Amino acid sequence: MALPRNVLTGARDAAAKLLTHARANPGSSSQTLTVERPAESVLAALRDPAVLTRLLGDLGSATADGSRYAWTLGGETVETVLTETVDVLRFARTATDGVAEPEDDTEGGADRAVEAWAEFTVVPTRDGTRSEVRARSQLPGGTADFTVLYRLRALLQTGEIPTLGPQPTTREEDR
Amino acid sequence: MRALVWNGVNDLAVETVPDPHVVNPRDVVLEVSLTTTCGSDLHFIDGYLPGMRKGDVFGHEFTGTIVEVGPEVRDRKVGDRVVVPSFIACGNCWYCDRQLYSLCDTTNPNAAAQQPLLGYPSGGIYGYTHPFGGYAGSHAQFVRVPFGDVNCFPVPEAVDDLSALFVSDAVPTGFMGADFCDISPGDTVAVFGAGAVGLMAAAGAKILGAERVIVLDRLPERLAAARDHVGAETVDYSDVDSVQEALREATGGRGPDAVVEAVGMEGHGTGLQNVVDRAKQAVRAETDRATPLREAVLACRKGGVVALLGVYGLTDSFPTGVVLNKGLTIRAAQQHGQRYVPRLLHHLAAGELQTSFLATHRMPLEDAVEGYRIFKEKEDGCLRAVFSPS
Repeated sequence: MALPRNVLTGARDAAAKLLTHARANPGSSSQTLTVERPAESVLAALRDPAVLTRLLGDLGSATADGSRYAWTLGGETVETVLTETVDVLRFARTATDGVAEPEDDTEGGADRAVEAWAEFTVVPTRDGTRSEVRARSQLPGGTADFTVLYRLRALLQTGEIPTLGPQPTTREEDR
Repeated sequence: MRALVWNGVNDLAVETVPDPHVVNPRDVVLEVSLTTTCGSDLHFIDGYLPGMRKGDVFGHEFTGTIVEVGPEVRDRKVGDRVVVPSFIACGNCWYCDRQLYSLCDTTNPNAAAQQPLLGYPSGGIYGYTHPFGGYAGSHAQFVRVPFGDVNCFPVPEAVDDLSALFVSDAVPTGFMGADFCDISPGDTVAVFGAGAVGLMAAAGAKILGAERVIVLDRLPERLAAARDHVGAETVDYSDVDSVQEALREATGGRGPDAVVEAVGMEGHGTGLQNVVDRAKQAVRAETDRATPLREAVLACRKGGVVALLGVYGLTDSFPTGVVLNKGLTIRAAQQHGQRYVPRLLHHLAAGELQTSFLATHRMPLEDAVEGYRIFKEKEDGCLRAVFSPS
Protein backbone atom coordinates (compact mmCIF):
# COMPACT_ATOMS: atom_id res chain seq x y z
CA MET A 1 0.00 0.00 0.00
CA ALA A 2 1.43 3.39 -0.95
CA LEU A 3 1.81 5.94 1.81
CA PRO A 4 -0.19 9.15 1.40
CA ARG A 5 1.79 12.06 -0.04
CA ASN A 6 1.34 14.20 3.08
CA VAL A 7 2.88 11.45 5.29
CA LEU A 8 5.95 11.25 3.06
CA THR A 9 6.25 15.03 2.91
CA GLY A 10 5.93 15.33 6.69
CA ALA A 11 8.58 12.67 7.29
CA ARG A 12 10.94 14.34 4.82
CA ASP A 13 10.47 17.74 6.47
CA ALA A 14 11.04 16.30 9.96
CA ALA A 15 14.25 14.60 8.82
CA ALA A 16 15.44 17.83 7.19
CA LYS A 17 14.88 19.73 10.46
CA LEU A 18 16.88 17.16 12.40
CA LEU A 19 19.77 17.34 9.97
CA THR A 20 19.72 21.15 9.96
CA HIS A 21 19.82 21.22 13.78
CA ALA A 22 22.67 18.70 13.90
CA ARG A 23 24.73 20.70 11.40
CA ALA A 24 24.11 23.93 13.27
CA ASN A 25 25.27 22.43 16.58
CA PRO A 26 28.31 20.30 15.76
CA GLY A 27 29.67 18.61 18.87
CA SER A 28 28.32 21.14 21.34
CA SER A 29 25.61 20.53 23.90
CA SER A 30 23.85 22.21 26.76
CA GLN A 31 22.41 20.89 30.00
CA THR A 32 20.87 22.57 33.03
CA LEU A 33 20.38 21.16 36.52
CA THR A 34 19.28 22.67 39.80
CA VAL A 35 21.63 22.21 42.73
CA GLU A 36 20.36 22.83 46.25
CA ARG A 37 23.43 24.81 47.19
CA PRO A 38 24.42 28.50 47.03
CA ALA A 39 26.07 29.74 43.87
CA GLU A 40 29.36 30.47 45.66
CA SER A 41 29.67 26.78 46.64
CA VAL A 42 28.96 25.65 43.11
CA LEU A 43 31.43 28.10 41.57
CA ALA A 44 34.11 27.13 44.09
CA ALA A 45 33.65 23.46 43.23
CA LEU A 46 33.89 24.15 39.51
CA ARG A 47 37.13 26.10 39.98
CA ASP A 48 38.76 23.28 41.95
CA PRO A 49 40.73 20.92 39.66
CA ALA A 50 40.52 18.13 42.24
CA VAL A 51 36.73 18.39 42.20
CA LEU A 52 36.69 18.63 38.41
CA THR A 53 38.74 15.43 38.26
CA ARG A 54 36.23 13.70 40.56
CA LEU A 55 33.36 14.92 38.40
CA LEU A 56 35.02 13.67 35.25
CA GLY A 57 35.78 10.30 36.83
CA ASP A 58 36.20 7.76 34.09
CA LEU A 59 35.93 10.50 31.46
CA GLY A 60 39.25 12.16 32.22
CA SER A 61 40.98 14.56 34.60
CA ALA A 62 41.88 18.21 35.13
CA THR A 63 44.89 20.05 36.55
CA ALA A 64 45.39 23.77 37.13
CA ASP A 65 48.18 26.30 37.35
CA GLY A 66 46.56 29.60 38.24
CA SER A 67 43.98 30.29 35.57
CA ARG A 68 45.45 27.71 33.20
CA TYR A 69 43.61 24.38 33.26
CA ALA A 70 44.76 21.26 31.44
CA TRP A 71 42.07 18.69 30.64
CA THR A 72 42.83 15.12 29.71
CA LEU A 73 39.82 13.82 27.83
CA GLY A 74 39.44 10.99 25.38
CA GLY A 75 43.16 10.38 25.42
CA GLU A 76 43.89 13.97 24.44
CA THR A 77 45.18 16.84 26.57
CA VAL A 78 43.65 20.25 26.03
CA GLU A 79 44.99 23.38 27.69
CA THR A 80 42.52 26.13 28.47
CA VAL A 81 42.39 29.44 30.26
CA LEU A 82 39.68 30.20 32.82
CA THR A 83 37.87 33.51 32.48
CA GLU A 84 35.13 34.54 34.90
CA THR A 85 32.25 36.95 35.01
CA VAL A 86 29.80 37.22 37.92
CA ASP A 87 28.01 33.99 37.14
CA VAL A 88 29.94 32.36 34.29
CA LEU A 89 33.08 30.24 34.33
CA ARG A 90 34.52 29.72 30.88
CA PHE A 91 37.41 27.39 30.18
CA ALA A 92 38.59 27.95 26.61
CA ARG A 93 41.52 27.17 24.41
CA THR A 94 42.70 30.10 22.35
CA ALA A 95 45.74 30.31 20.09
CA THR A 96 46.70 33.66 21.57
CA ASP A 97 47.25 32.14 25.01
CA GLY A 98 50.45 30.54 23.85
CA VAL A 99 48.90 27.10 23.66
CA ALA A 100 50.44 25.20 20.83
CA GLU A 101 48.03 24.38 18.06
CA PRO A 102 48.37 21.01 16.35
CA GLU A 103 49.76 20.71 12.87
CA ASP A 104 46.92 20.66 10.38
CA ASP A 105 48.56 17.96 8.30
CA THR A 106 48.70 15.45 11.16
CA GLU A 107 46.04 12.78 11.33
CA GLY A 108 43.02 14.29 12.98
CA GLY A 109 44.70 17.66 13.02
CA ALA A 110 41.77 19.43 11.44
CA ASP A 111 39.41 18.27 14.18
CA ARG A 112 41.85 19.00 16.99
CA ALA A 113 42.34 22.53 15.71
CA VAL A 114 38.72 23.34 16.53
CA GLU A 115 38.57 25.58 19.60
CA ALA A 116 37.76 23.56 22.72
CA TRP A 117 35.75 25.07 25.50
CA ALA A 118 33.53 24.39 28.48
CA GLU A 119 31.28 26.96 30.08
CA PHE A 120 29.31 26.86 33.33
CA THR A 121 26.65 29.44 34.12
CA VAL A 122 25.60 29.46 37.78
CA VAL A 123 22.50 31.49 38.66
CA PRO A 124 21.35 31.77 42.28
CA THR A 125 17.62 31.23 42.92
CA ARG A 126 15.23 31.01 45.89
CA ASP A 127 16.86 33.31 48.44
CA GLY A 128 20.30 32.22 47.29
CA THR A 129 20.12 28.69 48.69
CA ARG A 130 19.67 27.05 45.30
CA SER A 131 21.51 27.41 42.00
CA GLU A 132 20.61 26.72 38.43
CA VAL A 133 23.73 25.43 36.73
CA ARG A 134 24.02 25.37 32.96
CA ALA A 135 26.84 23.54 31.23
CA ARG A 136 27.83 23.92 27.61
CA SER A 137 30.94 22.42 26.12
CA GLN A 138 32.80 21.37 23.05
CA LEU A 139 35.61 19.16 24.23
CA PRO A 140 37.46 16.10 22.94
CA GLY A 141 36.06 12.70 23.75
CA GLY A 142 32.47 13.75 23.26
CA THR A 143 30.41 15.91 25.55
CA ALA A 144 29.25 14.65 28.91
CA ASP A 145 27.69 17.78 30.36
CA PHE A 146 24.78 15.97 31.97
CA THR A 147 27.02 13.40 33.65
CA VAL A 148 29.31 16.10 35.02
CA LEU A 149 26.39 18.17 36.32
CA TYR A 150 24.68 15.12 37.82
CA ARG A 151 27.85 14.20 39.66
CA LEU A 152 28.32 17.82 40.74
CA ARG A 153 24.84 17.90 42.25
CA ALA A 154 25.36 14.56 43.98
CA LEU A 155 28.72 15.61 45.40
CA LEU A 156 27.54 18.98 46.69
CA GLN A 157 24.27 17.66 48.15
CA THR A 158 25.37 14.31 49.56
CA GLY A 159 29.15 14.45 49.76
CA GLU A 160 29.31 11.45 47.44
CA ILE A 161 29.31 10.66 43.75
CA PRO A 162 27.26 7.55 42.88
CA THR A 163 29.84 4.87 42.29
CA LEU A 164 29.74 1.33 40.97
CA GLY A 165 33.29 0.11 40.81
CA PRO A 166 34.68 -2.01 42.11
CA GLN A 167 31.69 -4.27 42.42
CA PRO A 168 30.72 -7.92 42.18
CA THR A 169 30.48 -9.04 38.58
CA THR A 170 32.02 -11.66 36.37
CA ARG A 171 33.37 -8.82 34.18
CA GLU A 172 37.04 -8.29 34.94
CA GLU A 173 36.97 -4.60 34.01
CA ASP A 174 34.41 -3.73 36.67
CA ARG A 175 36.13 -5.45 39.58
CA MET B 1 31.11 -15.06 47.14
CA ARG B 2 28.44 -16.91 45.21
CA ALA B 3 25.94 -14.93 43.16
CA LEU B 4 23.32 -15.34 40.48
CA VAL B 5 24.44 -13.61 37.30
CA TRP B 6 22.76 -12.67 34.02
CA ASN B 7 24.82 -13.89 31.08
CA GLY B 8 22.29 -13.18 28.34
CA VAL B 9 18.64 -13.58 27.42
CA ASN B 10 17.32 -16.56 29.37
CA ASP B 11 20.91 -17.42 30.34
CA LEU B 12 21.45 -17.31 34.09
CA ALA B 13 24.11 -18.96 36.23
CA VAL B 14 25.29 -19.08 39.83
CA GLU B 15 28.96 -18.16 39.80
CA THR B 16 31.73 -16.94 42.07
CA VAL B 17 32.32 -13.17 42.03
CA PRO B 18 34.35 -10.79 44.21
CA ASP B 19 32.83 -9.72 47.52
CA PRO B 20 31.50 -6.16 47.71
CA HIS B 21 32.90 -3.71 50.21
CA VAL B 22 32.34 -0.14 51.35
CA VAL B 23 33.19 2.27 48.52
CA ASN B 24 31.59 5.56 49.56
CA PRO B 25 31.64 6.79 53.17
CA ARG B 26 27.93 6.23 53.84
CA ASP B 27 27.82 2.73 52.35
CA VAL B 28 27.05 -0.39 54.29
CA VAL B 29 27.53 -4.01 53.28
CA LEU B 30 24.89 -6.59 54.15
CA GLU B 31 25.15 -10.31 54.45
CA VAL B 32 22.00 -11.30 52.59
CA SER B 33 19.65 -13.49 54.59
CA LEU B 34 16.93 -13.89 52.00
CA THR B 35 16.42 -12.60 48.48
CA THR B 36 13.53 -13.19 46.13
CA THR B 37 12.46 -13.23 42.52
CA CYS B 38 10.40 -10.37 41.14
CA GLY B 39 8.24 -10.22 38.05
CA SER B 40 10.10 -7.17 36.84
CA ASP B 41 13.26 -9.31 36.55
CA LEU B 42 11.55 -11.37 33.88
CA HIS B 43 11.46 -8.39 31.53
CA PHE B 44 15.25 -8.34 31.12
CA ILE B 45 15.65 -12.09 31.51
CA ASP B 46 13.30 -12.51 28.55
CA GLY B 47 15.07 -9.75 26.63
CA TYR B 48 12.24 -7.22 26.52
CA LEU B 49 14.18 -4.61 28.51
CA PRO B 50 17.63 -3.71 27.19
CA GLY B 51 20.57 -2.57 29.27
CA MET B 52 21.85 -5.66 31.06
CA ARG B 53 25.48 -6.66 30.62
CA LYS B 54 26.93 -10.16 30.69
CA GLY B 55 28.09 -10.92 34.19
CA ASP B 56 25.63 -8.67 36.07
CA VAL B 57 24.58 -9.81 39.52
CA PHE B 58 20.86 -9.09 39.75
CA GLY B 59 18.04 -9.15 42.29
CA HIS B 60 16.55 -6.25 44.24
CA GLU B 61 14.26 -7.56 46.99
CA PHE B 62 16.15 -8.67 50.06
CA THR B 63 16.81 -8.59 53.76
CA GLY B 64 20.02 -9.16 55.66
CA THR B 65 22.42 -8.29 58.44
CA ILE B 66 24.91 -5.43 58.31
CA VAL B 67 28.49 -6.68 58.32
CA GLU B 68 30.40 -3.52 57.35
CA VAL B 69 29.69 0.20 57.68
CA GLY B 70 31.33 3.22 56.10
CA PRO B 71 33.01 5.92 58.22
CA GLU B 72 30.08 8.34 57.90
CA VAL B 73 27.27 5.93 58.75
CA ARG B 74 25.67 7.22 61.95
CA ASP B 75 22.49 5.31 62.75
CA ARG B 76 23.19 1.77 61.57
CA LYS B 77 25.75 -0.63 62.96
CA VAL B 78 27.26 -4.01 62.31
CA GLY B 79 24.84 -6.71 63.41
CA ASP B 80 21.63 -4.80 62.62
CA ARG B 81 19.01 -6.99 60.96
CA VAL B 82 17.51 -4.80 58.25
CA VAL B 83 15.27 -4.69 55.23
CA VAL B 84 16.18 -2.51 52.26
CA PRO B 85 13.85 -0.94 49.67
CA SER B 86 14.79 -1.77 46.11
CA PHE B 87 15.32 1.83 44.98
CA ILE B 88 18.33 3.65 46.39
CA ALA B 89 17.67 7.03 47.98
CA CYS B 90 20.13 9.65 49.19
CA GLY B 91 17.81 11.38 51.65
CA ASN B 92 19.22 14.77 50.63
CA CYS B 93 17.77 15.77 47.28
CA TRP B 94 14.61 17.62 46.21
CA TYR B 95 12.77 14.36 45.52
CA CYS B 96 13.83 12.61 48.73
CA ASP B 97 12.71 15.72 50.66
CA ARG B 98 9.25 15.11 49.17
CA GLN B 99 9.34 11.36 49.90
CA LEU B 100 9.51 10.53 46.19
CA TYR B 101 12.41 8.23 46.89
CA SER B 102 12.49 6.19 43.68
CA LEU B 103 12.98 9.47 41.83
CA CYS B 104 16.11 10.32 43.82
CA ASP B 105 18.23 12.83 41.95
CA THR B 106 21.67 11.63 43.00
CA THR B 107 21.92 7.81 43.17
CA ASN B 108 21.96 6.74 39.53
CA PRO B 109 25.52 6.38 38.19
CA ASN B 110 24.17 5.89 34.69
CA ALA B 111 21.64 8.71 34.77
CA ALA B 112 22.84 10.03 31.42
CA ALA B 113 21.74 6.80 29.78
CA GLN B 114 18.23 7.25 31.15
CA GLN B 115 17.77 10.94 30.41
CA PRO B 116 16.90 10.47 26.71
CA LEU B 117 14.36 7.78 27.63
CA LEU B 118 12.61 9.47 30.55
CA GLY B 119 13.50 13.12 30.17
CA TYR B 120 14.64 13.05 33.79
CA PRO B 121 16.36 9.99 35.25
CA SER B 122 15.11 7.92 38.17
CA GLY B 123 17.12 6.87 41.17
CA GLY B 124 19.33 3.82 41.15
CA ILE B 125 18.17 0.30 41.89
CA TYR B 126 20.01 -2.86 42.87
CA GLY B 127 20.54 -5.53 40.27
CA TYR B 128 18.58 -4.13 37.37
CA THR B 129 19.33 -2.76 33.90
CA HIS B 130 22.19 -0.28 33.58
CA PRO B 131 20.04 2.76 32.79
CA PHE B 132 18.67 2.16 36.30
CA GLY B 133 22.16 2.43 37.73
CA GLY B 134 23.94 -0.84 37.15
CA TYR B 135 24.42 -1.60 40.85
CA ALA B 136 25.17 -5.20 41.75
CA GLY B 137 22.08 -6.96 43.03
CA SER B 138 20.98 -9.02 46.00
CA HIS B 139 21.02 -12.55 44.62
CA ALA B 140 24.36 -12.99 46.33
CA GLN B 141 25.88 -13.66 49.71
CA PHE B 142 26.67 -9.97 50.21
CA VAL B 143 25.44 -6.68 48.76
CA ARG B 144 26.62 -3.07 49.04
CA VAL B 145 23.92 -0.60 50.11
CA PRO B 146 24.64 3.10 49.51
CA PHE B 147 23.45 5.62 52.12
CA GLY B 148 22.94 2.95 54.75
CA ASP B 149 21.27 5.30 57.22
CA VAL B 150 18.59 6.19 54.66
CA ASN B 151 18.04 2.80 53.07
CA CYS B 152 18.39 0.22 55.85
CA PHE B 153 15.37 -0.24 58.13
CA PRO B 154 15.81 -2.30 61.30
CA VAL B 155 13.42 -5.24 61.48
CA PRO B 156 11.50 -5.50 64.76
CA GLU B 157 12.03 -8.58 66.95
CA ALA B 158 8.43 -9.62 66.33
CA VAL B 159 8.95 -9.85 62.55
CA ASP B 160 10.80 -12.82 61.08
CA ASP B 161 13.12 -12.58 58.08
CA LEU B 162 10.67 -14.16 55.68
CA SER B 163 7.88 -11.71 56.53
CA ALA B 164 10.29 -8.78 56.40
CA LEU B 165 11.72 -9.84 53.04
CA PHE B 166 8.72 -8.67 51.05
CA VAL B 167 8.74 -5.28 52.76
CA SER B 168 11.74 -4.64 50.52
CA ASP B 169 9.61 -4.32 47.39
CA ALA B 170 6.35 -6.22 46.87
CA VAL B 171 4.61 -4.86 49.96
CA PRO B 172 5.54 -1.16 49.64
CA THR B 173 4.89 -1.26 45.90
CA GLY B 174 1.44 -2.70 46.42
CA PHE B 175 0.69 -0.49 49.41
CA MET B 176 1.77 2.58 47.45
CA GLY B 177 -0.66 1.59 44.70
CA ALA B 178 -3.45 1.43 47.25
CA ASP B 179 -2.33 4.74 48.72
CA PHE B 180 -2.52 6.30 45.25
CA CYS B 181 -6.23 5.37 45.12
CA ASP B 182 -7.21 8.01 47.72
CA ILE B 183 -9.53 5.48 49.31
CA SER B 184 -12.61 6.76 51.09
CA PRO B 185 -15.00 4.72 53.24
CA GLY B 186 -17.29 2.69 51.03
CA ASP B 187 -14.88 2.56 48.10
CA THR B 188 -14.41 -0.45 45.87
CA VAL B 189 -10.92 -1.09 44.54
CA ALA B 190 -10.18 -3.52 41.72
CA VAL B 191 -6.70 -4.99 41.45
CA PHE B 192 -5.53 -6.40 38.13
CA GLY B 193 -3.02 -9.18 38.77
CA ALA B 194 -2.69 -11.45 41.78
CA GLY B 195 1.06 -11.74 41.88
CA ALA B 196 2.86 -10.63 45.01
CA VAL B 197 2.49 -6.93 44.22
CA GLY B 198 -1.20 -7.24 43.33
CA LEU B 199 -1.94 -9.22 46.48
CA MET B 200 -0.16 -6.61 48.58
CA ALA B 201 -2.05 -3.84 46.78
CA ALA B 202 -5.25 -5.64 47.74
CA ALA B 203 -4.07 -6.01 51.35
CA GLY B 204 -3.07 -2.36 51.38
CA ALA B 205 -6.48 -1.29 50.09
CA LYS B 206 -8.08 -3.22 52.93
CA ILE B 207 -5.81 -1.60 55.51
CA LEU B 208 -6.57 1.85 54.05
CA GLY B 209 -10.29 1.31 54.44
CA ALA B 210 -11.68 0.04 51.16
CA GLU B 211 -15.05 -1.57 51.68
CA ARG B 212 -14.56 -4.04 48.85
CA VAL B 213 -11.48 -5.25 47.03
CA ILE B 214 -11.86 -7.27 43.83
CA VAL B 215 -8.79 -9.08 42.50
CA LEU B 216 -8.61 -10.26 38.88
CA ASP B 217 -6.31 -12.97 37.57
CA ARG B 218 -6.53 -16.21 35.64
CA LEU B 219 -4.58 -18.54 37.94
CA PRO B 220 -6.76 -20.39 40.47
CA GLU B 221 -4.07 -20.64 43.16
CA ARG B 222 -3.43 -16.89 43.02
CA LEU B 223 -7.11 -16.08 43.20
CA ALA B 224 -7.35 -18.47 46.14
CA ALA B 225 -4.51 -16.58 47.85
CA ALA B 226 -6.40 -13.32 47.33
CA ARG B 227 -9.47 -14.79 48.98
CA ASP B 228 -7.74 -16.73 51.76
CA HIS B 229 -4.95 -14.34 52.81
CA VAL B 230 -6.36 -10.94 51.90
CA GLY B 231 -10.12 -11.41 52.14
CA ALA B 232 -10.68 -10.09 48.64
CA GLU B 233 -13.39 -10.97 46.16
CA THR B 234 -12.03 -12.50 42.97
CA VAL B 235 -12.76 -12.60 39.25
CA ASP B 236 -11.16 -15.17 36.94
CA TYR B 237 -10.97 -13.10 33.78
CA SER B 238 -10.51 -16.17 31.63
CA ASP B 239 -13.94 -17.32 32.80
CA VAL B 240 -15.88 -14.19 31.85
CA ASP B 241 -16.89 -12.82 28.48
CA SER B 242 -15.90 -9.28 29.40
CA VAL B 243 -13.88 -7.89 32.29
CA GLN B 244 -15.76 -4.61 31.88
CA GLU B 245 -19.11 -6.29 32.21
CA ALA B 246 -17.99 -8.40 35.15
CA LEU B 247 -16.81 -5.34 37.08
CA ARG B 248 -19.87 -3.29 36.14
CA GLU B 249 -22.04 -6.12 37.32
CA ALA B 250 -20.11 -6.40 40.57
CA THR B 251 -20.40 -2.69 41.32
CA GLY B 252 -24.00 -1.89 40.53
CA GLY B 253 -23.13 -0.54 37.12
CA ARG B 254 -20.86 2.27 38.33
CA GLY B 255 -17.50 0.55 38.16
CA PRO B 256 -14.71 0.39 40.72
CA ASP B 257 -13.73 3.69 42.34
CA ALA B 258 -10.11 2.86 41.68
CA VAL B 259 -8.17 0.24 39.76
CA VAL B 260 -4.64 -0.90 40.55
CA GLU B 261 -2.75 -2.34 37.58
CA ALA B 262 -0.16 -4.78 38.95
CA VAL B 263 0.72 -6.81 35.88
CA GLY B 264 3.13 -5.05 33.53
CA MET B 265 4.50 -5.57 30.08
CA GLU B 266 4.14 -9.34 29.88
CA GLY B 267 0.46 -9.35 30.66
CA HIS B 268 -1.92 -11.98 29.44
CA GLY B 269 -5.44 -11.35 28.34
CA THR B 270 -8.14 -12.21 25.92
CA GLY B 271 -9.28 -10.71 22.65
CA LEU B 272 -7.78 -9.63 19.36
CA GLN B 273 -5.68 -6.79 20.78
CA ASN B 274 -3.83 -9.27 23.01
CA VAL B 275 -3.08 -11.48 20.00
CA VAL B 276 -1.72 -8.45 18.13
CA ASP B 277 0.38 -7.43 21.15
CA ARG B 278 1.85 -10.90 21.50
CA ALA B 279 2.82 -10.99 17.84
CA LYS B 280 4.36 -7.52 17.91
CA GLN B 281 6.25 -8.21 21.13
CA ALA B 282 7.56 -11.52 19.79
CA VAL B 283 9.21 -9.74 16.85
CA ARG B 284 10.31 -6.84 19.09
CA ALA B 285 8.01 -4.41 17.27
CA GLU B 286 6.45 -3.44 20.61
CA THR B 287 7.75 -3.57 24.15
CA ASP B 288 4.49 -4.32 25.91
CA ARG B 289 1.54 -6.63 26.04
CA ALA B 290 -0.67 -4.03 27.61
CA THR B 291 -4.09 -5.65 27.72
CA PRO B 292 -4.37 -5.29 31.53
CA LEU B 293 -3.47 -1.61 31.35
CA ARG B 294 -6.11 -0.89 28.71
CA GLU B 295 -8.66 -2.95 30.61
CA ALA B 296 -7.88 -1.06 33.81
CA VAL B 297 -8.55 2.27 32.11
CA LEU B 298 -11.80 1.00 30.64
CA ALA B 299 -12.94 -0.68 33.87
CA CYS B 300 -12.45 2.25 36.23
CA ARG B 301 -15.52 4.35 36.97
CA LYS B 302 -15.75 7.90 35.65
CA GLY B 303 -13.63 10.29 37.69
CA GLY B 304 -11.78 7.42 39.33
CA VAL B 305 -8.11 6.65 39.84
CA VAL B 306 -5.96 4.17 37.94
CA ALA B 307 -2.83 3.32 39.89
CA LEU B 308 -0.17 1.90 37.62
CA LEU B 309 2.38 -0.38 39.29
CA GLY B 310 3.24 -2.76 36.46
CA VAL B 311 6.51 -2.17 34.65
CA TYR B 312 5.98 -1.03 31.07
CA GLY B 313 8.09 0.23 28.23
CA LEU B 314 6.60 2.21 25.34
CA THR B 315 3.04 1.00 25.10
CA ASP B 316 1.26 1.08 21.75
CA SER B 317 -2.47 1.72 21.61
CA PHE B 318 -2.96 3.42 24.95
CA PRO B 319 -6.56 4.68 25.29
CA THR B 320 -5.73 8.32 25.89
CA GLY B 321 -9.16 9.50 24.79
CA VAL B 322 -10.80 7.23 27.35
CA VAL B 323 -8.71 8.76 30.12
CA LEU B 324 -9.74 12.24 29.03
CA ASN B 325 -13.41 11.60 28.45
CA LYS B 326 -13.85 9.67 31.71
CA GLY B 327 -11.92 12.24 33.71
CA LEU B 328 -9.57 9.64 35.12
CA THR B 329 -6.57 10.31 37.30
CA ILE B 330 -3.58 8.12 36.53
CA ARG B 331 -0.96 7.80 39.24
CA ALA B 332 2.17 5.77 38.83
CA ALA B 333 5.59 5.27 40.31
CA GLN B 334 8.27 2.83 41.06
CA GLN B 335 7.99 2.22 44.76
CA HIS B 336 8.87 5.00 47.18
CA GLY B 337 9.65 2.32 49.72
CA GLN B 338 11.40 4.47 52.30
CA ARG B 339 8.10 6.33 52.78
CA TYR B 340 6.18 3.16 53.66
CA VAL B 341 8.57 0.62 55.20
CA PRO B 342 8.32 1.78 58.85
CA ARG B 343 4.52 1.71 58.73
CA LEU B 344 4.51 -1.69 57.03
CA LEU B 345 6.88 -3.21 59.58
CA HIS B 346 4.52 -1.91 62.27
CA HIS B 347 1.54 -3.58 60.56
CA LEU B 348 3.52 -6.82 60.36
CA ALA B 349 4.57 -6.70 64.01
CA ALA B 350 0.97 -6.01 65.02
CA GLY B 351 -0.30 -8.97 63.01
CA GLU B 352 -2.35 -6.71 60.73
CA LEU B 353 -0.57 -7.80 57.56
CA GLN B 354 0.51 -11.22 56.27
CA THR B 355 3.35 -11.55 53.79
CA SER B 356 5.11 -14.88 54.36
CA PHE B 357 2.50 -16.76 52.31
CA LEU B 358 4.04 -15.14 49.22
CA ALA B 359 7.08 -17.40 49.66
CA THR B 360 5.65 -20.45 47.96
CA HIS B 361 9.07 -21.85 47.06
CA ARG B 362 12.27 -21.69 49.13
CA MET B 363 15.68 -22.94 48.10
CA PRO B 364 19.41 -22.26 48.40
CA LEU B 365 20.91 -19.63 46.11
CA GLU B 366 22.74 -22.42 44.30
CA ASP B 367 19.33 -23.49 42.92
CA ALA B 368 18.31 -20.00 41.83
CA VAL B 369 18.36 -20.75 38.10
CA GLU B 370 15.75 -23.44 38.64
CA GLY B 371 13.92 -21.08 40.99
CA TYR B 372 13.58 -18.52 38.24
CA ARG B 373 12.35 -21.17 35.83
CA ILE B 374 9.64 -22.24 38.26
CA PHE B 375 8.72 -18.60 38.93
CA LYS B 376 8.60 -17.66 35.28
CA GLU B 377 6.47 -20.66 34.33
CA LYS B 378 4.25 -20.10 37.40
CA GLU B 379 4.78 -23.79 37.97
CA ASP B 380 3.45 -25.54 41.04
CA GLY B 381 1.48 -22.47 42.12
CA CYS B 382 4.62 -20.36 42.42
CA LEU B 383 4.07 -16.82 43.66
CA ARG B 384 7.66 -16.15 44.64
CA ALA B 385 10.84 -18.19 44.82
CA VAL B 386 12.97 -17.20 47.80
CA PHE B 387 16.71 -17.88 47.91
CA SER B 388 18.93 -18.37 50.95
CA PRO B 389 22.50 -17.40 49.99
CA SER B 390 24.24 -18.72 53.11
